[in-house]
Amino acid sequence: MADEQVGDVTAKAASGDRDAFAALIRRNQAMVYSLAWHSLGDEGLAEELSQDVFLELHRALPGLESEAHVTNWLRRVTMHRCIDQARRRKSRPQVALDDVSEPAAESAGNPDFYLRSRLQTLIGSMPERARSVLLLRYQEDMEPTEIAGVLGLPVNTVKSQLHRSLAMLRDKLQRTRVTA
Amino acid sequence: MNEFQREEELLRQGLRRREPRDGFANRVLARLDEPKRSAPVAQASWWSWIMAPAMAAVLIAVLGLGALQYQRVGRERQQRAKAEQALGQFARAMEITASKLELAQTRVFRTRGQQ
Amino acid sequence: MRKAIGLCVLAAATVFGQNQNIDLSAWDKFASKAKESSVVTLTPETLGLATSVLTDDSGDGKQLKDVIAKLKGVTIRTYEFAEKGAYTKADVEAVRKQLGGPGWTKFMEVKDGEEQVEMWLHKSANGSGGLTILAAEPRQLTFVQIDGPPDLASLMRASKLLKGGGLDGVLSDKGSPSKKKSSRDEDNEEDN
Repeated sequence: MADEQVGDVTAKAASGDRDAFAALIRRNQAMVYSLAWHSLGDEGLAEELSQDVFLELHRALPGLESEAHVTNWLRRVTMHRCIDQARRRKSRPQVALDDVSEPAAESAGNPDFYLRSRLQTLIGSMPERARSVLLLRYQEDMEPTEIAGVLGLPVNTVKSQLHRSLAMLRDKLQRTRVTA
Repeated sequence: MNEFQREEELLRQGLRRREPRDGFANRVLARLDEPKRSAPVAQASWWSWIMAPAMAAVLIAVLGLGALQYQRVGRERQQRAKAEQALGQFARAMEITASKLELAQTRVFRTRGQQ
Repeated sequence: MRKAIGLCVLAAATVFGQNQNIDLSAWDKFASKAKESSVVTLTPETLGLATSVLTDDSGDGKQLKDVIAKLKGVTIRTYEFAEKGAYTKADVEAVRKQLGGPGWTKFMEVKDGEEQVEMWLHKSANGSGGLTILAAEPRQLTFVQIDGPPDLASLMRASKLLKGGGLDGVLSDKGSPSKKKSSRDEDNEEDN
C-alpha cells in the first residue's frame, strides 16, 4: 500500500472511522499478539493483553501522526504491558537459563522443528527483560538502539543482554542431542 | 551460512509472528461498543388487522422510545470513549513531562559531579 | 532535587505577563521526519472530560482528579528522530524566543554536551500561570506546556499513577467500553 494511503488510514482511524481502525488492527495484530504470546506463553492471556493494547491505541490515536508512529507506539506499550503482566504472574516460574535442564533429545522427526520448540521453551523461561530484548531483535528485526528506545534501556545494556542471552541459548541448544 | 547465522535464523523462525484467532479485530471493536439493542416487536394475531391502527400507534411509540433510548446509550458510549481517550492523552503527557524533569535532574547531578 | 526545583518555582518572579500561547508551527515539518512523535493538546473541556471517567472509589482515581482539576491546559509536542542533526538551533530558537517576554521567567537551564533542558515559569495578569519545558537532545526535541499552578510534585505523582499506560486502576466502571468483557480461553497446547 502506498505511503499516502497508509497515512490516510491512521488519520481516518484517529477521527473515528471504525473501518480504518479495523484495518489498523488487522495490519498490526500479528505483531502485537506474537509479542504477547512469546512473552506470556498463554494464548488466552496473549489475546486479552492484545485486545487491551488496541483499545488503548484507540484512546491514543489522536496524538499519533503516522503509521510508523503507531507501530512504534504498539511495540512500546505491548512490551511494557507484557513485562508488567509477566511480573504479576507467579504461576510461570522465572528460571535462570542455567537452571533449565536439557531433556534427552532423541527425535526421529525434524531436528529443526524440535530445536524451535526447545528454543521457545528456553526463551519462555528467561527473565522478562532478557526475553523482551530477544523478541524485539528476532521477531521484529530491530537494532539495539531501537530496542533501547522501546524498552527505555541504555543501548549498552541491550547489547550486553543480547550477547549473554545468545551465549546461554547456544550453550543449552548445543547440549541438546538429536538423533535422526 | 555460518554457525552464528544459522543460530540467528533459528531464532527468527522460532520467534516468527503468529496470527491471533480469526475475528480478532471484530472482538476488539465489539469491546468498543455495546451490543445493539433490538426494538420490541409487536405480536401479530388474527385480530390484529382490526386493531391495526391502535397497534400501529403503540408500535410507533415503543419503537420511537426504543430508538431514543438506543441513541442515548450510543451517545453515552461515545462520550465515554472520548473521555477515556482524553485521559489516555493526559497519561501520555505526564509520561513525557516526567521524563524531561528526570532528564534535567540527572544532568544537574552529572554537572555537579564534574565540578 | 525536585524540592530544589520546587523552591525555585515558588521563588520565581511574579511579574504579570501576557498571552502564553506559543506558536509551534515551525515544528510541523518534523511530523514526517520523525520516527516517533506525540502531539497532545488538552483544553479545559477535554481535561474535564478526562476526569469524568475517573473513579472516586480508589485513592489513585481521586488523587488524579485533584491533579487534573487544577490544570487549565496541556500542550505537548515531542519528536524522536532516527539520526542526529534532524533539527537545527534555529528550530529551537523559533520556540525559545517566544518564551522570554514579560511574565516569563527561566528558572532552570541545564546543558550537558549536546543536551539542553530549560524550564520556564509564566504568570498572567489574572493570576494563572504555568510551567514550560523545552528539551533539546541529539535525537529528540520536546516542548511541554502545562497551564495551571506549577505543582511539580503533583505532576510527578500523576505520572507515577498512570505509568505504563495502565488506566485500569483509576477508571470508573460505569458504562465502560474498555473494561474486560471477554473471558479468557482455556490454555491450549502450544501451536507447534
